[in-house]
Amino acid sequence: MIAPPRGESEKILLIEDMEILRQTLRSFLGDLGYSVIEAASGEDGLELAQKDHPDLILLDIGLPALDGFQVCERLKAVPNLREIPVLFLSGNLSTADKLRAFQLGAVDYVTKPFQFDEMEARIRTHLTLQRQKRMLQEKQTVLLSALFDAKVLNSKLIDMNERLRDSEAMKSGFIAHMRNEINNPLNAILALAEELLRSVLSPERLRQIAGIIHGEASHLDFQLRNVFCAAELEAGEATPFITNAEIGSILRNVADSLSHVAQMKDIQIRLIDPPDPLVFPTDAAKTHLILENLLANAIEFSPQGKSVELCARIQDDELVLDVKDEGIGISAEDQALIFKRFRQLDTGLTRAHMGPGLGLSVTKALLELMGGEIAVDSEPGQGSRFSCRIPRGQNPETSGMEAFDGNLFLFDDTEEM
Amino acid sequence: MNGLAIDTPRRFLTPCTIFASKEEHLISTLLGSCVAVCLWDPVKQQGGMNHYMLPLWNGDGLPTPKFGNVAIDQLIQRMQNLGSSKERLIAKVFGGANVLDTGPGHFQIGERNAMLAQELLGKHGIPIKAQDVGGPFGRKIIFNTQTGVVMVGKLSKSAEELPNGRPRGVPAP
Repeated sequence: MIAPPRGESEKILLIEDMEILRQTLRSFLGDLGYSVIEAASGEDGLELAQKDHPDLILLDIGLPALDGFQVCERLKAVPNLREIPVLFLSGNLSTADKLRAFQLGAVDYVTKPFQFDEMEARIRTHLTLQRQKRMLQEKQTVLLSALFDAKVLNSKLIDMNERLRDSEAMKSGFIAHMRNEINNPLNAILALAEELLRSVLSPERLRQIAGIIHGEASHLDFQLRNVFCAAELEAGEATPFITNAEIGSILRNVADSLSHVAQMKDIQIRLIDPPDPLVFPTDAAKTHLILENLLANAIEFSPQGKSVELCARIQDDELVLDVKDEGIGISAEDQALIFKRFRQLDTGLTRAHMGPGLGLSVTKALLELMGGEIAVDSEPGQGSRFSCRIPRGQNPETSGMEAFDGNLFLFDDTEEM
Repeated sequence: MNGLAIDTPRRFLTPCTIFASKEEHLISTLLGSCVAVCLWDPVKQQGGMNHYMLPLWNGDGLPTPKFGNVAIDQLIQRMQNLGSSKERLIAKVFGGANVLDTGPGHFQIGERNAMLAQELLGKHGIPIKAQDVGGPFGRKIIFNTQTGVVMVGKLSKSAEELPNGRPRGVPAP
């Protein structure tokens, strides 16, 4: 048995038209420790039930006007009264009446003349059941909300797990790509070195081998510079080193370093040399890597025999670098993806190309570091044009206080917010 | 002027970068909507600073310290690499000015940058001992890594005209 809550007695609503019966039941129930509220008619009873929310209702069937059955029906139609157990009181109930009472939602009945012991037992039982029911409902509410929390948490975990898996897949994809990128040139270089060791070669062959070794080694160097640059950028250790750079010579160096790759695909690199020696304050090495990545990308995604164009100019006091190709082009959706790490688009032609997928994300991060930005203009089949804008670089100013103009605040370690 | 000896090495911190050192350095930077977090270890008397532009790395591009969540975690890691325990560190947070006219995508970027610092440092249990964030104007700050003192100058220029060579349309650091 579950004891009623201490300090407050349970409330029983008595709906009975006969004064004498009400009196008897009032004193009987009061002796048992219940608090009793009374109504002499069905209408009053409904009103009281609504107002006082009793724990149990004793309902006479033979009421004037609204009879007990009708009162019960109405009680059961009100959502917050529906749960209150109703016990019918009646002189003599036919089986049909009993059945009807239960159908209407009553939990029990007590017949007159009342057997007080029996009545007490029935009331206690139903109040206990009601308490247990309420506790179960409360527990269910708690469980449901816990379940909801768990579901939210679970979906977050699933989300996170997916992202981790994505990132993991990207990383292993990256390592596989890198192995190719490093192994291929290394194997070529090793094979050529063996040939050099084993046989006496003609001057032409020597020259040819030197050329290939140079090309493969530069490619390897390029890939590794990208990897190291990405690591430096991610660690926040990449700092622009600004000098007055001759942009024309950067363009030529970039074109030179990729001429070997371009030749293999019979791709012509068109260099639009700036008219005068173009000097611009910027980080030469980073500008070089930006251009090298864009040019390598353009060559990689160009079909054999096409040409790529490299162009630099000053516009609005900014250095503008354009790399244009006649390659496969990039759809609008893919344009949003190309700057993601290790990402290569899984479309036809590109499958054959296994770059580390790092170049464009490095390019973008380098430009951001220098305060610049990159834009892509492309349509599938129409070629692509990557356009970078780099603002005038300023050497890290080492001045102390000069830039302050007036208001100066000192935050030392004793400062509290 | 505390810690402004002529021979103290100076270092200007570019956006998206981090610097921390055991040696005394004066790290300076210019902040618009960007936020710089200074971490200082009062026992070892060493410190470091980051300078981030956006609150969260969303998987786009490299996870560089351009993003607050990357920059703050890395700065803490740097301090730990220098032998500072996380429990000892104190933080000072600056920047996060309101930059207007940078388009809807950058709306309240300064406020979000500053909130991220508070949230993330709280998560790491690093107390913020001083902060000067928000407002319409840019800031120049100088952090002495040995004394932990930060000098902040309010720039009378609004955050978007900071002299850092940033092109139009790109949020000021």
